[in-house]
Amino acid sequence: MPFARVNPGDLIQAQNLDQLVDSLNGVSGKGIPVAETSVNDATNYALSVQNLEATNSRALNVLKSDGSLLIRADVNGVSLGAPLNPTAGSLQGTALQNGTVTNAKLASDTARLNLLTDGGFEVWSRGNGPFTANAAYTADRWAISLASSSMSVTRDTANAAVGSIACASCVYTHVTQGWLVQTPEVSGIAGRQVTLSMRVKTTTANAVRVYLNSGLLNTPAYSAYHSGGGTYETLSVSFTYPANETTVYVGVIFAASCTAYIDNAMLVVGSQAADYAPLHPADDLARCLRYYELLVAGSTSSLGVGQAANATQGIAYFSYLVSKAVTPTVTFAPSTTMAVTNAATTPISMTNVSAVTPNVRSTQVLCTVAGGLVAGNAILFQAASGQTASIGIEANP
Amino acid sequence: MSVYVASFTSPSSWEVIHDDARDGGHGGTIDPATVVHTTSIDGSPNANFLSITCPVCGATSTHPVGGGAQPSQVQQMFARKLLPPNPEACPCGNLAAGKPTLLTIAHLKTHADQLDGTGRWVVNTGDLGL
Repeated sequence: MPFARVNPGDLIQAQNLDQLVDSLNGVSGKGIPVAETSVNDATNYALSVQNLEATNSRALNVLKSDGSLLIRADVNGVSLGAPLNPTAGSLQGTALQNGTVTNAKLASDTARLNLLTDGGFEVWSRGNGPFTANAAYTADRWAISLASSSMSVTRDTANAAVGSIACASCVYTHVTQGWLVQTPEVSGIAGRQVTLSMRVKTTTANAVRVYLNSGLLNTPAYSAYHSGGGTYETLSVSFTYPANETTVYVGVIFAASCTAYIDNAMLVVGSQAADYAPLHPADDLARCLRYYELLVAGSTSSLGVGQAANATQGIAYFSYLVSKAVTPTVTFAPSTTMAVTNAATTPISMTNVSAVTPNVRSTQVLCTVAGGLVAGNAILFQAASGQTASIGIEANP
Repeated sequence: MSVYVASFTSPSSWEVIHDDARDGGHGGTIDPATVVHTTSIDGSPNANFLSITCPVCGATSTHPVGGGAQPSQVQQMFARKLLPPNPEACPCGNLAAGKPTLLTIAHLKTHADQLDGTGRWVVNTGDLGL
């Protein structure tokens, strides 16, 4: 109820004064809103509240109608109720204490380090497919894993996600579950919580989801299924790996026949998914080369240099573009596609070729010919005239 | 990937796949005896590497005992070279032919550990059907 105004000459009644006292004491229904809106003072604050009690300094306590906190000011600082609605742009970076923004507070558009190889499905070192065999690698480190279902994976540029050049097109026929999986090296992942996010497009509901699993625990964690809405959706899942993890499984799991497009996978440390952040193409390729590289040399193109040991054999040296994760398998195209040069730099067709003691950085190549070499002479290891030679180096940890 | 043994069909025949051949991949069968340890220029065999030739195109893969491109299949291939029914001695000279399966696997695991570090060996007697 409003206070009664007392005019000059009027008698003040007790109820007039009591209402003021009751209002100050907080008696329900006695108070009225206080609106100090017309103060005109350049020096003093319109409202100043100070509690001289030194221990708690309880200056202000503003509550909602239900008694919950809106604003509290005391010796502990200023406490505010939720939700907090600061004006856009009003919080400056210096207001935050250094080192207090945790991973859980990050939005997905905060770019972070991707632990995957070829997460964008941009590098297809083994060709564009189709790849269909169980355990076959498709887009570099992404492999097909099947029990009894079938799947065909091809490089697809028509259905790639926005900002992407290519995606993996997976035509899947279901019998039991099938996977498109990558097994990243465990170092850096073991003992940490990581989150996987992938862009997936399909028109079949409840057919595709992403997962993380531990070779040690075998307790897979799954995302929700794609809705089947026919547009790209981001599916994500988190998993905490034990410190002694042996194998990390990352990928897409198929539970119903469908055609699905897979793109832009991110595996990041922490509980929050991250939007895909592309690598520089050189870095993207370098990661892939850690596991697989294919050197293709056209007619008479050089592969390496070496030295003849006798009339029929020479040792050449071949260095990889990138050091491998483990000692690799080295595969040579048929020896008929290769040659070594003699003292006159004339190519001599090879009858046999094999790697000798490959290591993670290079291999020696034992080059065998029918004859014509001279011990001690240099040799040039090259593609035979009119032939295309190739050397594949593959290391899958 | 490589030229590798996809199925150890019988003591006299293994099924081979060459999956990154230029024609997109092919396969065939080989005599296990044609899978041999690589040799150095002096002719000495190297216990850490086996060479396998594609029966279709003649491409040759040299696989390390750690497994290289195909850890499980390659390690099985190394084990089966040293185990019955056609046991061979390890070329390193430290394992005679015909030793017990567990000892043979432990020996090969040592080679793999030396080459690629511990934790690389994945094959056990169950994988070999023994």
